[in-house]
Amino acid sequence: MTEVEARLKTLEDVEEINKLQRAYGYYLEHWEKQQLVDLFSGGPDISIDTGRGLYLGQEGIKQFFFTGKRSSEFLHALMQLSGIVDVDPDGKTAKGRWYGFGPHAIPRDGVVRASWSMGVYEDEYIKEDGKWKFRKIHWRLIFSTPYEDGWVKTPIMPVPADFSPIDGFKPKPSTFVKPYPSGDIFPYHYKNPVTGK
Amino acid sequence: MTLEELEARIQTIEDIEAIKKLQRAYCYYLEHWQDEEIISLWSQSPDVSVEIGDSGFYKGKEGVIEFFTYSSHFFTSESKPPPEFLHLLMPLAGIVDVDPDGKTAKGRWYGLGHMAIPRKGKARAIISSGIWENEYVKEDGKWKFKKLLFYTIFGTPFEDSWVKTSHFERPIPLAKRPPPSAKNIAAAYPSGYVFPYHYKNPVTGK
Repeated sequence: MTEVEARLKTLEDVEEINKLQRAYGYYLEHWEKQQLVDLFSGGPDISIDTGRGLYLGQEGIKQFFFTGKRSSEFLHALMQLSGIVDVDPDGKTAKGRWYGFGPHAIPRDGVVRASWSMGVYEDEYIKEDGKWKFRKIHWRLIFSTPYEDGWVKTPIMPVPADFSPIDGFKPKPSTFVKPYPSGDIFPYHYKNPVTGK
Repeated sequence: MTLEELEARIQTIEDIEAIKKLQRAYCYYLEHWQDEEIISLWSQSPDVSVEIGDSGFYKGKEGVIEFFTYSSHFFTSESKPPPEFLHLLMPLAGIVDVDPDGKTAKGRWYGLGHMAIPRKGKARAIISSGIWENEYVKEDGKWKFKKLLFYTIFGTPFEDSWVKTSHFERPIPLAKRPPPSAKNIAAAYPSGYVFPYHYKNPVTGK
């Protein structure tokens, strides 16, 4: 590959990863579980952690997404915004930071409440058979608040029971920074773009 | 097409990507007001500036430092924000144009944010929206901010919404702010102000 081809390749890789991350967000809206699972690498070291446990490996990813039935009122829009994607020098792995923000309507105990969800992703990607896939989705929730309340009054709503694994699967504990109002900063995968520190 | 022409086209796309990263990195640093990181993103040029809504026009490196230093911006004796501080402002829908010389660029972005700014010991949820028209400069191979101009459409207490209370008073007293660069930059909803575009209509070129 010539130098100019390598530069073009990196730009194409970033665009493909942007598409992967955004496609993930669109599938989340109606929790299209098989589509979501299919975005992950076939390797053993995949994981997802959204603050309610670290789900490892192929089995962990399935357990995370194949949970309770979603009714027609269910809405889990989570727009994938403001991405910073960096492809590693070997062109085979990459990392991305994104905001996730969206309006939700999640039935809890038979009641559907409108809510807003906000957080930051630090994800890892891997290229397999010429396609970019997820290796890690790590999401730090900032707030998940009832529409009427706001993030200062009610920063976090409890996770509904039907988001839990259905056959007793136990994820490992989350190791994440805490949501608002912890003041925690989710570590950046990149250096400061000007100082390089 | 010659190899040089192809390289120049790729360079423009790489520049746009680097500028998008700069703008987004700036906003991730804003979330917890990491002032040293924010200030480091500015050019060394003497004609740097920053102005946000009715904040006034801050000129030069000293102005940028004064504007972004946590204690002076929030008019407090604290040097770092408390845990309940949140200044999340997502940079969205960017239009970035690199000037023909490849050394300067301009960008228009929407900002939409969810904040919690403690005042008098109590944090309040605030929703903010506005538009940036920024200028960037390439120095030593790196893109940096030269001019940051943010037109605040609204900054409203969460409970109120932008129709009821369009503009939440900023912490720094009016008398201590420098004069604005132009009369309309301090306007907010419902002024009807159309924040000028750095680009021509992409179809008509007008």
